[in-house]
Amino acid sequence: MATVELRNIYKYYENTDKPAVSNANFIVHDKEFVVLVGPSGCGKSTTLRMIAGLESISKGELLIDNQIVNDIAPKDRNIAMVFQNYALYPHMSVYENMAFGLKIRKLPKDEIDKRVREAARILDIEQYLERKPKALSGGQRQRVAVGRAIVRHPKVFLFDEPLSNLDAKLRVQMRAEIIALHRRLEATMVYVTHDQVEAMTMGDRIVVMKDGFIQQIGSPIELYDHPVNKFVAGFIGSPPMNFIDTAIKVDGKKVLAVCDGFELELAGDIATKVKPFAGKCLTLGIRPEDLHDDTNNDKNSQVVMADVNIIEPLGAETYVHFTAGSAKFMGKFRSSTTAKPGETKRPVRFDLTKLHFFDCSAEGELAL
Amino acid sequence: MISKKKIGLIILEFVTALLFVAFIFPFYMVIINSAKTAFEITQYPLSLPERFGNLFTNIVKIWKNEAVRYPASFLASVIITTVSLLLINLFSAQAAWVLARTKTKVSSFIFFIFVAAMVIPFQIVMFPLLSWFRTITNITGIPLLRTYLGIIFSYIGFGAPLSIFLFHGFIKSIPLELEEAALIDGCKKHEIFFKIVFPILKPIQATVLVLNGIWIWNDFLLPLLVLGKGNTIQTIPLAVSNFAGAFVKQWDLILTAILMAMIPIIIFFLFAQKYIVKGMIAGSIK
Repeated sequence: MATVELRNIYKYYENTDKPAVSNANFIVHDKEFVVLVGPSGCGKSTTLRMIAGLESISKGELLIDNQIVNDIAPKDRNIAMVFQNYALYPHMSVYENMAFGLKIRKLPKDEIDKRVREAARILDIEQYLERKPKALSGGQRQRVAVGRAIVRHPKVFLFDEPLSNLDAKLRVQMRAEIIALHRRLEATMVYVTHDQVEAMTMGDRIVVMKDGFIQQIGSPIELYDHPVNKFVAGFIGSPPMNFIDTAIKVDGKKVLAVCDGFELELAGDIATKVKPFAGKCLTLGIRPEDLHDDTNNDKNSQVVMADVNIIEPLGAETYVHFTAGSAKFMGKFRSSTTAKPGETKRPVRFDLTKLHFFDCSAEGELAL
Repeated sequence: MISKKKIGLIILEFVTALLFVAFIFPFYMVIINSAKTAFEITQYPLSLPERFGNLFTNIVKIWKNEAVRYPASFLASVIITTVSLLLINLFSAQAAWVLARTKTKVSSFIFFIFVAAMVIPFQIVMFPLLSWFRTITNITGIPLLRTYLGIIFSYIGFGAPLSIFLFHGFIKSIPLELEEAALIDGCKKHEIFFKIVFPILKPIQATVLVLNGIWIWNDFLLPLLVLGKGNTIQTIPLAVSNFAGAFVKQWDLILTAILMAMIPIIIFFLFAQKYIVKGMIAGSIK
């Protein structure tokens, strides 16, 4: 297996000044599973396609296994790619689809047969080898696409939103299968998705992208606990983080976050970090799971009275939407919550140790 | 009371039946009159033949006719149609693939020229074509008039616009990822075309082959101009025309020859017709 290194990579398309990918810098270590995640048009697929060699690199260097591959054709990069629409050859059987890349590379017939049958066994598609792709379900096609990649024994596996075309249930199943496959093959994998749940559950590390720029690189928990800006904070986590505009006020020894409708008295590290912003506006961020449906006040939490707007029962848990003054936020509570729509002045406990602060700009670049 | 819907249905069925009769009538006339003598045809054109055995007598007469040389004409028609179709199919598919996958102003312009060529009537270009052929022959020494090369070359030219148009529409509906997957699998450009794209084009190839096949097999004017009369190379329509002189028209032999010429193309059509509709739809709807 191998490493993939992107050094100051830019991608400009013709007739546009704005780069599709700007200054991409990261290393995918050997045997690592890295997920590129972001909304549509953020440049994640373009980055993957540059690694594959399907898009030219406008500026910067791409290294696979410590060798610069900018000008090396896709076929010579020793990579395999699984596409969003599977890209199975419709006129070939499953066996032929999987064997095609090996035949082109003129491997001996018995070696091809051995590799195809081995991959089919791993992916549990042995009984479909003679079928054409149109006679397979979405999940089976997806497996064939993965099988076509496996047989090649490539240095790097690239996945371009391979689960997007599957229904929700199958997606969860295939997600687990790809994770298991990664462990089994101990392969270097780069995976693109717009689904943050996929990113969180699958990746050893996640690269969050927006408008062509890398926003943050880190493990799923790092991104969840310490987002570098408002975008990452809002993108990672489901349901997304609540954002409330607040003014910082210092009253003697107290450091207060004054929101429209309530005040939070900050303590510890957060108070120290926020203090210099006294008199300024910041955006307070708190995850729905850090709001609690009880009044167990302690020094690390504070109860706020809020009105209940909407209840979304999901079975295992319930999302409760609140309003306090002009601030709107959502709590993720147990299904046993007694909150009812229209209820006024219901206590909600804020976990003060889990507060995040960002500057008030739309990007919220400064995170505290 | 008969409902309005039912009246509409009855009218529709009546019109369909009329159309069926209108379309089948020429076939009926050719079939029944092929088994008649010339006298019977002129006297009782609509009646059934007295002896169906006459059909075989007529066939033998045509086959053995020294002036018409039916077997040689049949062979020439097969050679011209087959080679033209194979080359139209191959070249048009390649051209359409490149035009569909290259997004530049030049490629759009070339495609526009091909589409525009579809609406130019043959009669406008036929004499300039002959003149060009003569000039090219004079300059290069490559004989284009009265040769297989010239007629096949002409058919490729005249068949390409519609074929490219059909292939182009179909290729646009093929996901580009298939070709990218082949590229990563290790294919070179020509391998992507021949191993991936060309086999996927099968339904539209059938459409192109049938549409061009019927036209080329039955064409009279272009072979008359390019091959000319009295040539050793002549197609079936040219051969059949030999039965029609200035003063005498041998209707029994003309109609039997037409019947003989119709059979191969009808078999070909029946074999490939299921792909025509499929190909037409596949080109427009993914």
